[in-house]
Amino acid sequence: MLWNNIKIECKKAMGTRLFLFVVLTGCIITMFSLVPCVRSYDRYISSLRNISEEFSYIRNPMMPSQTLFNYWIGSEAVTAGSTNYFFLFPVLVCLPYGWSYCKERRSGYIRNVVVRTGKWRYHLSKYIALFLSGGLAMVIPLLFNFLLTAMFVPAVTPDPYYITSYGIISSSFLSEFFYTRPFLYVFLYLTVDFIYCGLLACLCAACASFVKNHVIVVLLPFIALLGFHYFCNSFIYTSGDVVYTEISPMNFLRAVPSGYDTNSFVVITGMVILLLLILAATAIREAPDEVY
Amino acid sequence: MKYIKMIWFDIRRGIIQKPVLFIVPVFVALIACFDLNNRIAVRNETDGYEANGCRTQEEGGSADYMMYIYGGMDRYDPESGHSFVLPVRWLIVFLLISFITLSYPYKDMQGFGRQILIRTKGRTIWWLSKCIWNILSVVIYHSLIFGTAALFSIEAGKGITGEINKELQYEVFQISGDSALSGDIPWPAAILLLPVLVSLCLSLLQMTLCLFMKPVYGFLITASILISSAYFTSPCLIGNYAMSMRYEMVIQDGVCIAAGLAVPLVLMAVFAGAGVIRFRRYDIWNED
Repeated sequence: MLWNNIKIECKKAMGTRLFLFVVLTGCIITMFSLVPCVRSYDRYISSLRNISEEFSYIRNPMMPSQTLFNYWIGSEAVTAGSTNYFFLFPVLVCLPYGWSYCKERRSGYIRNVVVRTGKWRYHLSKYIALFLSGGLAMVIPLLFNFLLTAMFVPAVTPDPYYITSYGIISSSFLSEFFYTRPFLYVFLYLTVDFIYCGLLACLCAACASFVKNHVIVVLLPFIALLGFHYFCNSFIYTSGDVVYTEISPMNFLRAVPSGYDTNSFVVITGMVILLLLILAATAIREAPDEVY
Repeated sequence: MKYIKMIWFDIRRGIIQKPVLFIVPVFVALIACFDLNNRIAVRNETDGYEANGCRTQEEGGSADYMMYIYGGMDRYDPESGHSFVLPVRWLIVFLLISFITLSYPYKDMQGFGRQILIRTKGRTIWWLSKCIWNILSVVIYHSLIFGTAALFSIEAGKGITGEINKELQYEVFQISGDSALSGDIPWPAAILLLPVLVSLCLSLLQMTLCLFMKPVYGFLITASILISSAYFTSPCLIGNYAMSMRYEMVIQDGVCIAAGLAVPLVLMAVFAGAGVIRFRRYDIWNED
């Protein structure tokens, strides 16, 4: 029964044109990162070619400094595509299915399901579908960009000798993998992004317990993240002389630090706080709620 | 008479009964004012510059607090290789009003407003009434930001000033030496009214877009325009006119203030007109 419920919810969440539209929009935005990055790499290769024509050989082409791992969208914070994607992602991940719980309550659909499956099965399957849809809506465009970039830029293992080209230093989150197993680094970052965005999408359902308007419900996680980012910038990162730890998800979900470095404690604490918020909303509002 | 009643209804339901419209701008402005105060204090304490005669102590007035809120950011050059840093204070000011005004017309059209629309048989006046409501909401929102900044300045003992402290602003917005304009031409506080005009334009654009697509997409487009404006310094992206630190009298090759006045006004008329035309044929029973 539960498995059937999950299958139905997942189909409702990800088998729709809206999900496809969101993923396509994400992929299109990432193209605005791919094109300038590939051009930049081409310029680098042309300059190498010019030098080799001039002097007949190049002693050190510094190939590890120009690698896939600092050209894909997650590892650069310079292009318009990267800027737009990592700013709009909270809306994009909530858009495919964040509105569903709110609409199902309003339309009365929830009553028909709950009477057949039970409340907890309904909620559990709804949260699983939301988590998967949110996570996939974030990760698929990133993966798409990573694979496309790999078609143009070779995946040379980063060398700490060229550390200034990457912006990832010893105190950066997961930096030990970046210089040794870069594919694992990308995989772990995508996993972190998947979990965060899945939880953000679930937050929509939690918000729907308190807010009745589905438009507001879809946008609330974005506004909350932006508000938190504003708070951090105004009251925490106040001095230019201090090296802070990045605690704003809008910055640390990017695989390269665009402000300060983060650490595993912050990342895991953030996940736990999001999970607790979702559980608290469900326990406080949904458990005693009489759907009829 | 019918029109006045309709506007009054929108004011009551869409403004007076919406406490968030009055609370949010005060909070946003207060956070920004405390932030600027902090930065001024840190700056004035740094390394005894004053004692060496290198820098003078700076004090912000009310116009400086407002400039800090509406300043935005310096032009961004991707070729520099520096990471793009979100102008989050500026974004939040403009996105929050877009968020606050997003759902009321849509909700009204699916609820009580639908009855009014049928009984008054006036689609055009319904739409124009929503435009007036929208303009009023935006004006109230920004007035509260200005008012809070002015009160904060008075409370901090700095009074109300009509002139902006150039050195201070160049420093807090980290304007590079290449961009900063030298000269004694003062920046009048009146330049801070242009962002309000752009905000009106964006809010009307969003409301008109909601007639063609779902409100969330309208918001997404507004957010995209704002973030793209921060990234690209171009007169074609209207958000540039909402950043006081990008005006021609503030930085080299900045955007033209006269164009910033004309473009939003023309666009507002276009959006209101497009809304009227679209709304005449709009399916008001559309539940989506």
